[in-house]
Amino acid sequence: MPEGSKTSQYKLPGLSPAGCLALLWPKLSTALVNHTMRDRLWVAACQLPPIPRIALEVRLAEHESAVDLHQMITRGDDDPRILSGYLKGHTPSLTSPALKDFLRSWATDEEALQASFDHLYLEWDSTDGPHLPRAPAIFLAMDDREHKPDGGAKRRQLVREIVARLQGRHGIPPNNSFAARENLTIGHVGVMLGRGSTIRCNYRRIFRQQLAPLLEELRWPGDIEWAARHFDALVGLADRVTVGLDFLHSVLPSIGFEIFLDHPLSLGPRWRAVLDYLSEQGLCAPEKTAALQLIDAYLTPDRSGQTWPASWLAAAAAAPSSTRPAVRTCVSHLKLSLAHDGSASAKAYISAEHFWNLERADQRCGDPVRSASSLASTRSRAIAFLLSCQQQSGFWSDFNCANGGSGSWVSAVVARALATSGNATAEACADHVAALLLRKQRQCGGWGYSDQYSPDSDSTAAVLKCLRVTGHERKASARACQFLMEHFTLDGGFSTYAADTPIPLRNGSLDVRGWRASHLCVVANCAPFLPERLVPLLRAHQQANGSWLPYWWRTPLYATALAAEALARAASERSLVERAVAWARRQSVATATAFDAANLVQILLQGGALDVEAASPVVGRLRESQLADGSWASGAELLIPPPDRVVATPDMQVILDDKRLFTTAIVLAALTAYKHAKAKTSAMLSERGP
Amino acid sequence: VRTPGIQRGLDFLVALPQLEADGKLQGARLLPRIDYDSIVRLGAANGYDFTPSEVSEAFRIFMRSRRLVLKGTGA
Repeated sequence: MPEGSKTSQYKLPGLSPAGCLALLWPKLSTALVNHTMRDRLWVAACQLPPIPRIALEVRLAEHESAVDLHQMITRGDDDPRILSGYLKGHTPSLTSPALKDFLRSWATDEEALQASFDHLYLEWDSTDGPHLPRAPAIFLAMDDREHKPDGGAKRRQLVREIVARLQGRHGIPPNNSFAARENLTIGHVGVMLGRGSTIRCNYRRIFRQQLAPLLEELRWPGDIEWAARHFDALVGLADRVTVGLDFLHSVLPSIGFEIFLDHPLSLGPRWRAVLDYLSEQGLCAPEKTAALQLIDAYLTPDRSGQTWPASWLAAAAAAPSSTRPAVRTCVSHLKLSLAHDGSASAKAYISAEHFWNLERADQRCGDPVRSASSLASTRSRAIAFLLSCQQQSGFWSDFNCANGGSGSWVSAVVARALATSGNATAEACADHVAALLLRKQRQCGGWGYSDQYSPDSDSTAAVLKCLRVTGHERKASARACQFLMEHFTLDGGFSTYAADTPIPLRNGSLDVRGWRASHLCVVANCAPFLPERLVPLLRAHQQANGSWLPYWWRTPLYATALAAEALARAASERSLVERAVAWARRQSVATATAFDAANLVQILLQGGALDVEAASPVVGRLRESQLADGSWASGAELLIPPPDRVVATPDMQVILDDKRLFTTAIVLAALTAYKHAKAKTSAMLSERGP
Repeated sequence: VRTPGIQRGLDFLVALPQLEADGKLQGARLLPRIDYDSIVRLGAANGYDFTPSEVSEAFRIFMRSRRLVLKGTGA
């Protein structure tokens, strides 16, 4: 809620989650949820705590109509107070006294549980009748969200105690699940109150080819080879895959893979790849798959043709005028379940969540640290952040709002920053990623923005730079440089996409002359690999002020940093570099993003000792603005010009690195370069003597 | 077109905070099954005469004007 307004004192009212269904129904095909099931879900939703968040677990096979009902409760938006009030009355949705007791304790925070569990998930299985099913399952967050593998013994002990408390005398010590596996990260632990004393553990960050050894270690009684094959395939397609195992007296023979992608289903092709995979297994009805494409939306009450739920109307009208209610509907994730009898099934999780302010729907960021750390500590934390965000496939993905996100390009930039960081773990990781990237080289010799997109010169240069610093370049260089050579344009420029490279666009645009025109930011990136042809282009197109104008970026700092780096290798181009450095010295960082500030540092470091000194306050600012998780706020402003526009302008659509990986990698690289430049300057001064 | 019915719906929405403070909303906002007919009855009980579609349109205008005010203040 906005600070400083009367909203901050306003007690948010409860809203029935049935309102979420009212808004979801028009976007949801009856192929996914039929009329009978809608009626049942409506009745059930009216009985839930008045917290307007709901998710439906929908089966994707043709003749399966059962739908499970989920509700997320957070410590924000006055949820605890609303839940506390609900628990004082009739609670048909919560039949377990132990669960009610736990929820009451959490809601009132009398045991300070909210600090450990900032969100809870309640899940009701589907039933055949109109009434809510048995007691719901409750899922508790287990290990730290920052992916720390140890998760903290204290927290695990707390979860153990709560599990025992919820299970009561029927409880079975869950030693097999999380007690003895300190090296594994567990996202959530579910207590399945409606299924005897079953406990579900959702393991995360299990890397490709690690599942089979884990299942063997756990003595999982299912078909390990079958499960591992599906898991490895899904890890290659998705951003995250969690592994759900059920435990009773021992591990049960079923297994579930929850499949997450960081971009909305409507915005990219990678969801399609996962759905195709599930369809190939015969698990998705085509009309259900097609219906999933229609769900993503932000709904607001002022939209034409939009009827806001009547039960929410009075609350919205009476709320402070600073509120801007909205509901986000989306496909949250998919699931592949493998049963003990060898059967498989697929599900989609469809959510509808109310926000009192539209802006809250996309706010996800750590808090800035309060004071600057040393340069070494800042770099260490940045490295730890990047390593913690590595996907199970070994890659990183970012810019999720642009064409389904980038894997290869982003991974190359991150791996290069890690490879040059001087940290042994980071270097080993970068070396592994470089080997993975080598395997992704296309037949034509290039790499693409992602596996779903055609190869381009810019991504290829980024990968080549990564391969160069990790010692893998020679294995791919000749073919890659040949591929780069295909990007010269008829007018003597150099483009991102070659003349005969297909550019599949979602809107079916045929005029792509803009994306095939000459792009100076790409020239700058590729110049180290084709210096004889590209340095003259940089020389010819440097702006009078010393910068280079980009096509794919909102500001000129990244392009200029890339150009200065490329030109610094040639002594004959020193004057161009000096002009760029002089331009950089005139730039203000007062309102610059961390990404731009880092590029400014890189340009200044191409200058002399005084310029290195001029970079010091910018580095200080970067140290101060590092976030608690070791990252920097998203600041890489990627421009996506309409394909037919040859010249980019800063008012075009900007896509940020939503995962903060690209910005953090660029800042880490700049801080590493600064460290080396300072050491070099100091050595020179000491050589000179007093 | 802002018909008299829509205008009465808007007047009702503007008056809602006061009606709530006076305890005249009968807990309407906490009842999950409340529908637009119930809103119409609630309005009529407090002297506001409108149809379900009129109050629905009034609500859209009400929220749109709130958004425009917020936009104007940069909030």
